[in-house]
Amino acid sequence: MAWTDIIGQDRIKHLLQRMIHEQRLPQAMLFSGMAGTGAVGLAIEFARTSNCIDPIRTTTGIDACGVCRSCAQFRHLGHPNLRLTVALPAGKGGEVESEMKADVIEELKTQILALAEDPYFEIRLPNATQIKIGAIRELKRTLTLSAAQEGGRRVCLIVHADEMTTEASNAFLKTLEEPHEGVTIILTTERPERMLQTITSRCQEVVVPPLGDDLLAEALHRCDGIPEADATLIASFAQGSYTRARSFMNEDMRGYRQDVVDLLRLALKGQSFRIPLTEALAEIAEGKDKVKVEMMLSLLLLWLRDAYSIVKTGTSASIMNVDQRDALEKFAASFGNADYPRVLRAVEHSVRLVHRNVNLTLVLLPLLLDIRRVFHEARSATMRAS
Amino acid sequence: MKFTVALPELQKALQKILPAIPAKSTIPVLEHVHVVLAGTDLTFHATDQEITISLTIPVAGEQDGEVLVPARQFNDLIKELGNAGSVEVSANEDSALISVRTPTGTYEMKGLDANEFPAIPPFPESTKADFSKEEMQRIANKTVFAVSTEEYRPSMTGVFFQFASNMVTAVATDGFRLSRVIIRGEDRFPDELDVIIPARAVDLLKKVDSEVSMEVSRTHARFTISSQTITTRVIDEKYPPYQNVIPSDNDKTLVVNQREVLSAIKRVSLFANTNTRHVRFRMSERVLAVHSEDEDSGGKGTETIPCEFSHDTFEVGFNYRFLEEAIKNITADDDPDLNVQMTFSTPIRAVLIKPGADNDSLLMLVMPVKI
Repeated sequence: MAWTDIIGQDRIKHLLQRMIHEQRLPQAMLFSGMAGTGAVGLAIEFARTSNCIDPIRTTTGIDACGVCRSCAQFRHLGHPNLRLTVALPAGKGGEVESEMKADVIEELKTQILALAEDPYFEIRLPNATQIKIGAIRELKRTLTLSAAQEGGRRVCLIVHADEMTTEASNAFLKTLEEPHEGVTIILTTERPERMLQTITSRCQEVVVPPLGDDLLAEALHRCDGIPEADATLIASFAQGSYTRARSFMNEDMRGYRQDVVDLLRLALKGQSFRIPLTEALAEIAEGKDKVKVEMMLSLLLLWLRDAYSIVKTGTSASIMNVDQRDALEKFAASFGNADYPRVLRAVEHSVRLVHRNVNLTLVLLPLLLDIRRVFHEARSATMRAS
Repeated sequence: MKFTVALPELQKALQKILPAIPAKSTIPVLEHVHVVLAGTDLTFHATDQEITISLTIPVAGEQDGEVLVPARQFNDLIKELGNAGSVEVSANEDSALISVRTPTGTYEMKGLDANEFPAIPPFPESTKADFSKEEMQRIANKTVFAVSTEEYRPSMTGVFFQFASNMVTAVATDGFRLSRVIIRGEDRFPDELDVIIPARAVDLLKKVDSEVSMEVSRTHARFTISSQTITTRVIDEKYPPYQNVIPSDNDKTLVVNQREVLSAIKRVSLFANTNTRHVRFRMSERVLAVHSEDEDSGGKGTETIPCEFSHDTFEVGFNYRFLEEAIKNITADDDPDLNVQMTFSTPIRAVLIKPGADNDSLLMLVMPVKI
């Protein structure tokens, strides 16, 4: 792993590198950002660089050498100065390594190795939802010992820190407040609002923002070998999360987009749209595939946004669905004066409803009828005008 | 790397380093032994990131090198090879493939790159102290039992070594009892040094088989026992001022025979309440009555044994487990007659327990309980 393996986040990389460079390392940091933005990767890279024996200093930053003994130990995250704390499966005891069940240890070991290879890998053990007090006590115990290796910085990384139980959080307060020499505690969370204020107020917060679509598309193309056009499409609705983008990689995006555009066409048909539309919707809703519907709606949103962009700018230079240029231009020409913002808002609202488990037919049918109304009004207005 | 080694030596070496290999770990490198061959010296390093054990044995070395060998697998294999003859071990550093060849079999296992092993802490300007085998065993055996297991008092989870004016005081306490061993060392000890060694490391020193040289750096302590070294991280805390709890005005003195009082406590404690573990000492000039009573079950027991007591009568209660562990700690090398001297002041103040032969090299303290 290296700084370059983490997509974007230049501002944070610069901030962390400057801390190491100037030897002004904070006692506790809270990396808050949604999954797939690289928070854990940044924390590990921070640990690796601050422990590197012979770091490479440049005018713009500092990077681990990758060849020294410390870097070798970071290769499989086995460096004694790095301590990972994650949620462990519920059950009696087993919050300390020596008490964990063999299968949990094996699973955790595999996942840590996966994280060592891929900074975007998310450690998640089955049935593990809480970081319990036992795990925090063990962490505190190791902190009372002297450093395992002199020099370098001990980094304690608590992944999904919002999963700490209240008892665990309270047990941790004193450690955060009276940190040990040479130790940086890094908490990562997707939901900082769910953490105790007493914890967050003791940490320097670093907000890890969502990634830009272009960065994501570039990464998908470069690292995962996705063709550029597909990468752009996937990136545009990954909502800034590389993990999310990768989870869409295996989905048939073009197929879904075709389905949803067909659905739109069906809804905009002349008189005989009712039965085919209801049948098509029934078929989609039957699958009860919430994720698929959410994705289809997101694709519809993109498609409509492209159409709107052609209407507004008069060119198709900035559209995302590049392969659909002809269809989009035709669509924009037919519905030039439609109330696009209203349609886009309606689709966005539907995405939220699907997310909240509203019955799929009850979301899709009103949406499509609403869209039909808007576009038909526009078309009749155009006709009247001409 | 390539060498030939006699099986018994190899087996013995592996047994000595195994305590540092964690039974379970999420870090693969810790489940490996770092094996280094330099000339005819074969060195093993094993660590769990807290304690590192290193050991060097002579072998017939052919080609120098270093590799990480999967510890359990290697040890299990070597154990199964019987205790006669020798094995030839070779390793390819690039592929980390280790092969073991015996007269009848060949085995191959996959190791790891030696660079991934945690660095062995250096001891550049360490302070040094030399102990005889008996002295180190004495410290380890007579202190560790009193160490605290409560994580909220981290400093008390280790044994405190305090070097000053040519002697070392080793102290362990958990707040309910305390054990202090003093060893005088003329010029073998540093002038001034305080260090807290984790109980686990001191536990390993119970079985040392030759003199021990102890070195302390800022972050680690290292115990060298002939060809073996045990390196441990130290507890980076301040030890509580234990001297303040040792009373100096205990005016009542009881002397009893260790065996008699121990067996009395053992028998009587069978009838003590299993939660409170209370036993009561009722002393008069010539007789000590050890008594327990469990109101829940209605059971009670009393034993009387001869003693010498400096006052008329006195009564005090104990947690029998603490008392038993303390008294058991007095052995024939403290007092050939195995007499125990206990001193008291009031029934709620600390009780001191010493060997009957009046020396200050071993002192224990137990807090009584209110009865």
